[in-house]
Amino acid sequence: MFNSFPSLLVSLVFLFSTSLGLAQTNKSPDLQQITARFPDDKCLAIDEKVNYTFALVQKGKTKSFIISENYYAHFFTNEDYYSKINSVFYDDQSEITSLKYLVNKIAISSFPVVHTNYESAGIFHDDLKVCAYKMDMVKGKTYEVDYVKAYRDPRLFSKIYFHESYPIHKKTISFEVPEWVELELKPVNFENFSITKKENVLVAKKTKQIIYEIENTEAIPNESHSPSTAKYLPHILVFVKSYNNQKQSQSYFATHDDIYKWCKTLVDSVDNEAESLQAIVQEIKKNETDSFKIMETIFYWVQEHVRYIAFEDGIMGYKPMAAKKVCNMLYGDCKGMANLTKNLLKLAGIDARLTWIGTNDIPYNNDLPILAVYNHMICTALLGGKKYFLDATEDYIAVNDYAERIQGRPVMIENGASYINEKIPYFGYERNKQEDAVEFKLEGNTLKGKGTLTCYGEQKTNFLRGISGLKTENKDLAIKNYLKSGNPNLNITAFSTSNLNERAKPLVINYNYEQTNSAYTTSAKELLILPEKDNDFEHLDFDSTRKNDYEFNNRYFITTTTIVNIPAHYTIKKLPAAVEVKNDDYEFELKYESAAGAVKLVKQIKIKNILLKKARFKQWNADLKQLRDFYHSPLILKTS
Amino acid sequence: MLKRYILFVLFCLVSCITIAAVPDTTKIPVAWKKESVIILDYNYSYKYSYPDSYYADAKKEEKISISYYVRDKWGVEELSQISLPTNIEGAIDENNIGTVYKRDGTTQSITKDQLIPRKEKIDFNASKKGKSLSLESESSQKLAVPSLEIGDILEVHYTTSKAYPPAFITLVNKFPLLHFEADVKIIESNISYNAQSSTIIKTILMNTNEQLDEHNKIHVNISLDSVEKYKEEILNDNNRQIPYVLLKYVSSTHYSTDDYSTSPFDVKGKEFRAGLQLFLARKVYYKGDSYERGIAVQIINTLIKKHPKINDTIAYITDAFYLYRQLIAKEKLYSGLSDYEFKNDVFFSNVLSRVFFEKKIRHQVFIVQSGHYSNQATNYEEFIDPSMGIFIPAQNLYLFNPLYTYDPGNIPPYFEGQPGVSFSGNKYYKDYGAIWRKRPLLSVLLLPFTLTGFLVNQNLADKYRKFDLQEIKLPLTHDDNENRIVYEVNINDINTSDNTVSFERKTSFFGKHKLNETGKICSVSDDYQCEENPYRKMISGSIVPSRMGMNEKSKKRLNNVVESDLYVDGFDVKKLKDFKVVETNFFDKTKPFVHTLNFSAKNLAWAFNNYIILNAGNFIGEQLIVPEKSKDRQQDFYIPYQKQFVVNVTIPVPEGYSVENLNEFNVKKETPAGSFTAEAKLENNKVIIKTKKAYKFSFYMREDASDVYDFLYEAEKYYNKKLILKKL
Repeated sequence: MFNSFPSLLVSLVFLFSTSLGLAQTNKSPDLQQITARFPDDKCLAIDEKVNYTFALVQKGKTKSFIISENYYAHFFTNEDYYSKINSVFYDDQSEITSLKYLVNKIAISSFPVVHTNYESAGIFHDDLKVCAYKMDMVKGKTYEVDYVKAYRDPRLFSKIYFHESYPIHKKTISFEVPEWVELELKPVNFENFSITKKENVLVAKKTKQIIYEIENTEAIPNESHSPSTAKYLPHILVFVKSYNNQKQSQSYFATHDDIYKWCKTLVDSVDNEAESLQAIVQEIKKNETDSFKIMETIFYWVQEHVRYIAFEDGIMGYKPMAAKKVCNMLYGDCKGMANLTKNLLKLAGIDARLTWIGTNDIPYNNDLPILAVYNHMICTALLGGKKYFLDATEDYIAVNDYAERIQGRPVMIENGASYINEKIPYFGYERNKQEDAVEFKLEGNTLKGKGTLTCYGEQKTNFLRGISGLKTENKDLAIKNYLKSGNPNLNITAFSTSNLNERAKPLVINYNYEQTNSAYTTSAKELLILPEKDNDFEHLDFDSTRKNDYEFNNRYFITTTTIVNIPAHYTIKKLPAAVEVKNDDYEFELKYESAAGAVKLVKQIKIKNILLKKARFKQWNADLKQLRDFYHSPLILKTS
Repeated sequence: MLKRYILFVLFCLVSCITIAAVPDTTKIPVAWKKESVIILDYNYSYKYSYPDSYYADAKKEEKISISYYVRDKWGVEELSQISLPTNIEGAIDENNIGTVYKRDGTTQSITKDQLIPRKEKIDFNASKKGKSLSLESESSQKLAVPSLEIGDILEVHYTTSKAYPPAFITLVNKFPLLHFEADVKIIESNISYNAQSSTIIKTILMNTNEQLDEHNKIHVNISLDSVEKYKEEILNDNNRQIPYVLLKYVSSTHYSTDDYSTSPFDVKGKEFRAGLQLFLARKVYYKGDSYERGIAVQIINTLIKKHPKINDTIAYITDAFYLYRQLIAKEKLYSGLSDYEFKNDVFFSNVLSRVFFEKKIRHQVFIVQSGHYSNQATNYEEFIDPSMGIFIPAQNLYLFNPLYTYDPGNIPPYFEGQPGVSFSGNKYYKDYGAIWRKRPLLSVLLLPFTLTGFLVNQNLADKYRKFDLQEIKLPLTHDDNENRIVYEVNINDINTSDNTVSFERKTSFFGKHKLNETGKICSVSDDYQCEENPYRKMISGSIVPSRMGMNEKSKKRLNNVVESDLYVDGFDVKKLKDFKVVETNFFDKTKPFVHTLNFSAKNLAWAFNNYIILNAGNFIGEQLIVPEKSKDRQQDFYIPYQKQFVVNVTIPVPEGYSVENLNEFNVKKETPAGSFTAEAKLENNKVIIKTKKAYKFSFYMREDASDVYDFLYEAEKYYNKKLILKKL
């Protein structure tokens, strides 16, 4: 009886909070006012409460520390009919212990719920699961949901958001922290939102209550090129450091060192059976003796042969698959691929370490004692006093080159009982240079020209990755379309590429083209020529409906020179004025220069900051207008 | 005996060798060198036995064995996860569902452990009382073959009991096929079959034995070599082009075959129609009868009031059509019947045939049962999945399902030119109605049994056999002018400072285009149905007149549809200012459905120095592009009907400007398959451009692809033309 007291307490607390929720809904907030605030949303939550409680629950002979997420929401639709699918995620370290669904305050005793593995694209299991149920909603009725989700491992309970895919009139996130639990909460991105925080001490329960409230949260916009939600939405990072209730105690993550110890224990528990990979290592390195070349060959072998399949949260989010298994199956997630790379390199005599990293989707420093600072794993090779960060999930990347998403990010490198703190080198936008040298002449009203396109960095790896994944029969067509940049007046008549498996050198494409509807002879014997063929970023203007900042795929550095050979008996009459836009985020520089018997169009576009803030949209649109006008303004030649 | 034994042993050895051997890749045609995946061998074996009693006794067995040759990284990705039926009963070899023949000569076994269910479903019972329903069913599972590499051969083999007649084997699919072998054995008394060849495969080698013994009705053996893969192409109909084998299933388990499978015809194939006809009729009888009768009574009463004397049959029939839709819409709200029930062609035919019967219309009114074009039937004996309508010969008027077509008499394109059968509506109802009328008490008493058997006596059954079935062919549009869209486009404003152009566009839809457009508009807007349907359901459940104007949400929904149409037409819409349906002409097939819209679009006008450059080609709307891959044509051309697009554009020349390159806007391309013509002239300082694009074919041979592509290219080029205006 005594043993079940905590769970009884949890239940009472839950019932209390639920009934509180129900009581509040009786106040009947003005639905018209609420819905008028969100006219484009078909469903909204009038009230949503998430209350976290902490308890030791008896399971067999031992007690387990359980964090319960007690969720309650009151939904409403203004549509005649709306079908809403709700989903709650869980994994091997958490479970949904109860789920209730009420329509017009009457509990629905039986309703269809699907528990399934969460699968987005891959074929392989991970331990993320989803509990999904459907609400068939009509106008005028109320829909209430409450569930309890139990977290068994506080290490995997790390952040809580306020926003959802639907608008919420009022959201409350609360914590009831017993005094025997050491907990720290860190608010993130609160500055642009009106979130109130209250703290109460419940003396009788020896518990501190922390309550956060926010009103009128909009639905998370479903917009392409949005930054990760961690970068802009308010959320709370939760640090459950330890508990000590006299009879039982446990420490979790008090410092970042604890994170390393835990991660290290996990990777050390993997039986890689590395010795069985010796034959493969020999096959890969053959007779090579140069350590750098061996490292390079092994790294590229893993890139080429092991298919990347992402896993999600839970322990499998942190524990790598055994190297031998990855090698046999030829698939793995980042951890599996990093682990295989490390083991192959070690067998080849190279010092290689597993390395934890948060990609640029993660806005936190890695000194926080929380797992959420890491979402990726790579391998670091230590060779000749230098560190090489090897991310085998990045197909076609060379040794010493780093993908945009990991550049400048702090890493935690395995180093026995301790770890090494480092940062991945940060390159400028110049790394992603795309250089096009074009020259054409006029034949009739058709521009006939040739070009040499040279790509570096992300421009190169994105291209190589995209092409390699295509059907062989479609590759030529895809390259032509890439060169056409969506210009219907452009016809690629021939092209050749550099070796499409080459990682260390830039990608080079030589091509010939014909361009129509781009030259006109007027009655005044003037010749109008529109030499621009790519019209980069022309359509990327933002209207008032966009809610999020815009995140580019990567930073850009596009530089094009186009030589326009002036036909005989013509001279320049008028050239479009140069465009020059320069600011911290981007630069546009377009101009015509006169040359002997020719005009040179010089174009440079630099996207220096991957994130374009919404506040900058107006300026961007105005600058883009200049760019667009330049593209569509002809150079005018006259007969000499 | 010894000889037999030796032969048996030899056979076993050969079989074993065949199973164990690495599939042969040496016979791959050179033309397939860029293929990502090649099916080296596809063996299909199907056996079905149905002992003429109960469905549960049917025995089915399907064995499939496929060898894939993986040629590139795309192929590795594709075949690392293969969808398989959920209920694989077993592998041919119990623990081995497949084998990977590695390029280095080794082999890897694929076991059933590598099967991954797509959905792992658990019913969650929150209340712990009773059982909850399942939300989704498992439809397939995947076979994970993670260690696949380029150059490997993956062989998958399994048996399943999922398949049941009618069996449908598609012979051309997404991968080219080096060798195909099918062995299909159907042991059943009521079955017919059809196999289809096409332009892709001229001849299917097919051996058929329909008289193996007294039960073995069909035994088909098919083999094929070197089959190209299916290629996505414009202007085709893959149902007509892709060869397949189809085994039609004649009888249904849901009613007794004893009474109704006996054919009123003596020839093979016609049993199917008779069986299906009765099945459908009975479906209405037990499911929708009360609603149907109620609606019919309402229609009849309304019609009686409106037409005390029936002087004009066509007006009477169209009114019936009109009222049917009104009343169905109202009834649907209360009845709880699904859309499917109301949209069922038979439901409509039954209702109207009752109306005609009750009113004692003595004109010849026929019920028509016709095949869909995708069935590729050449005569009425071959069609399956028929649809029904009403035909009044005197007026040459066809009424098809009013909830689909919105335009009585306008035959949906997929029924154009299709074979069918007709029979007297009066006769149909009279005989059918007799069941209800003569034995109402018996019908009520035996109601539960009607779900499993059509309980009428042999005499009534005999009546069905007396239908006067007539073979017919639904009319086909022969003139592209009948099916046309006419756009009258007036440019209101050219704004070079923000590069936008404002348009006023009036669009008239004729023929089949009218059917499509009305269907689309009516599906998103109540407003246009108000013309016919004066009812609307309120939250309270009451029915009120719907003429309350369009609410904001409906308007938004409609505007979204219109705006997305404009995007499809290639316009980068800045603002949709107004959209109005100005003429519906729902019941007059000679007149168009007309709507107007005002909108502005971006990136169309540019000014520089003394010039304005207008993307005037864009004003006619985006044209069908012939993709690079369609140029080397695999299939014949097919479009459901000949059609025409007329665009008349009026562009006011801004004051102080002259037009430089008007002549570029005069083009003419005519081929036997179609034409694209454009005439441009200057009138009262306005540029008038008139274009017409006509598809003058329904079928066209792939050998003559240039006839089709030439006029399409011309239109495609025209779309990108720019008009240059120069300051005077």
